Amino acid sequence: MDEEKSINDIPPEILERILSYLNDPKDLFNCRLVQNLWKKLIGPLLEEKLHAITTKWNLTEFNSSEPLIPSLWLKYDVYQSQGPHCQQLFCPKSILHHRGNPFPSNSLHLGVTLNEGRSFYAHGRQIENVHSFFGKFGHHLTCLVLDGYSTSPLTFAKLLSKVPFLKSLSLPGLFLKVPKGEIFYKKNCVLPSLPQLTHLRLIEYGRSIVNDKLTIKFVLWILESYSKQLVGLSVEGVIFAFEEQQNLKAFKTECKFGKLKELKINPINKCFLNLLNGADLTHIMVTRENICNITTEEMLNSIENFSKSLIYLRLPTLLTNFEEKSSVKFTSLKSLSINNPSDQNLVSVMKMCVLPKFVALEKLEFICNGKCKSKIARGMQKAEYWMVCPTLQQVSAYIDLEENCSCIKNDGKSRVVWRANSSC
Amino acid sequence: MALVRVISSDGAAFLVSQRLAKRSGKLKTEIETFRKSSDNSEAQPEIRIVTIRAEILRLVLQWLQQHQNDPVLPANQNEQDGRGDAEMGQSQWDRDFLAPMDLGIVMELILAANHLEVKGLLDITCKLVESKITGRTVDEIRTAFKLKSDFKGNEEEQTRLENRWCVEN
Repeated sequence: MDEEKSINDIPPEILERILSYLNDPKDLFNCRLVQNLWKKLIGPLLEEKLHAITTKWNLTEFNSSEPLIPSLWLKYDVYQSQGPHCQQLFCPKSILHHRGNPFPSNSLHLGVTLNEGRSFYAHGRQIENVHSFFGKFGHHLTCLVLDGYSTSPLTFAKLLSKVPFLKSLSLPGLFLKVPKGEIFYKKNCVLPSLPQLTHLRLIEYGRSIVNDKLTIKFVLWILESYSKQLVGLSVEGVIFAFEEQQNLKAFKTECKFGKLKELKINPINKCFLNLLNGADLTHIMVTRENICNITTEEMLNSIENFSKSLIYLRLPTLLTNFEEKSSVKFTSLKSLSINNPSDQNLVSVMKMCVLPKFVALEKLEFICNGKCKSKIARGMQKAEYWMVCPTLQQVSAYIDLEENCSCIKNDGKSRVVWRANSSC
Repeated sequence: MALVRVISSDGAAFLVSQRLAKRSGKLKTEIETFRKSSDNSEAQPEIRIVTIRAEILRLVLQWLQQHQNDPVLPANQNEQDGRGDAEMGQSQWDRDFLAPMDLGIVMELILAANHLEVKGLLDITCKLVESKITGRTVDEIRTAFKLKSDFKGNEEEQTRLENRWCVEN
């Protein structure tokens, strides 16, 4: 009889399959330490999971901290004893001494709180700038989150040239700072080509001045440089609430978002959506709270251009002052999500206005906080949705992702299924 | 009812219906090959599986028997929008079926399910192994699977340092 079989006897592709079932990042990182083969197999799996986190925006925004991504904060500490201007950066030695990629994956979340343009020291070695910091491992990176980065166009272009294989770039809290003497002209400053870049997130925390013309120009410049290759785009922050103005006109003619499929936008802005005309968007998410008090009607009107191609739509809280005027119907939309449906008139708004526009809707879901749980459950059992929308197959409520409740169409009767991961 | 003889590496023969056997991709191909090469359409095919011993083959056939009326699932059925129900398809029967097995048997079953192309069985056995990894420390995993570290020099320490960027933040 053969010897007892062990995990060493199974082919690597099956071990990979086993490891791919792991969900907790802790387990994935642990497995890197078991054996060389395990470490080798985990690499691509981590890559896949991280890429999904930064490019698929369906539900992951609940875990906005992106716990899997290696994260590092570069910050100055001022040493008073060495004079008021002597600043030292705490950059861990393991990064400076690593011969390859110091991180367990090709993704990096880098927080930056330094003054661009000033050189810094790390463990006695001088590193000139944030972009030269990427020197040794930049070409390993495929996913980069640059947090709170204040930059000038020139240094931003230099930084991107250090990370030529990026697939996704997120810029939360991007902050434009043009040093004295540097004038921002699009013509003398070109962003490097990043041939693999397909996903871009521009998130502005509202620190810059609203409608600050230079910042808008800067943001549009980034968009313009990569517009033809982007598949997913996320633009969030008041900066995107801009109105039609001079620099948009030039932008329109140079920008073609031919490949764009997924858009995450907040606040929704007709002017910005007009720039995307011609793209066959399949997913639109309008996230979080409705910060500009746009009515549901206005929201729907501004996405009418995509009514033929749209498959998934997510809207924030519905507002009640809805008067149906447009007759455009969304013929491909299969899935509709509503954030925080706290409005008391939800059922009537849904019934009277929203559902008649979505003639092919199969899945309706509510994403809400615990407070409206019982109301949603009651609402879901009502027959109204099913009556208005004959194609509807499923109504679900997600409560902070912890538990969910689904109502599935079953021979004309609805059946409610509660599923809870937490105690309830 | 058309039958087929399936013979294990240690010579034990199992007589099963062709309908049941065809739920294994490998056996299906073998039966079809036999049909083409045989003049007599009534002849009973005989398939020798040289890599699987009787005890394991019996388990595979037992699992197939239990699941003979399951719909054949498309390969990526659970992967739609990342919210697929991972427990789907794992019945109480499956759990009872796997419960008494030690890891050695499970590994053999994985190899057999892979060789015979029985996706459902491969899924549940792989998930069982995964459950032995979840929540364990590196040492516990190595002990459970009888593995030794094969890192050289400071490779392990280096890997630990790399991991720190993710785990301890």
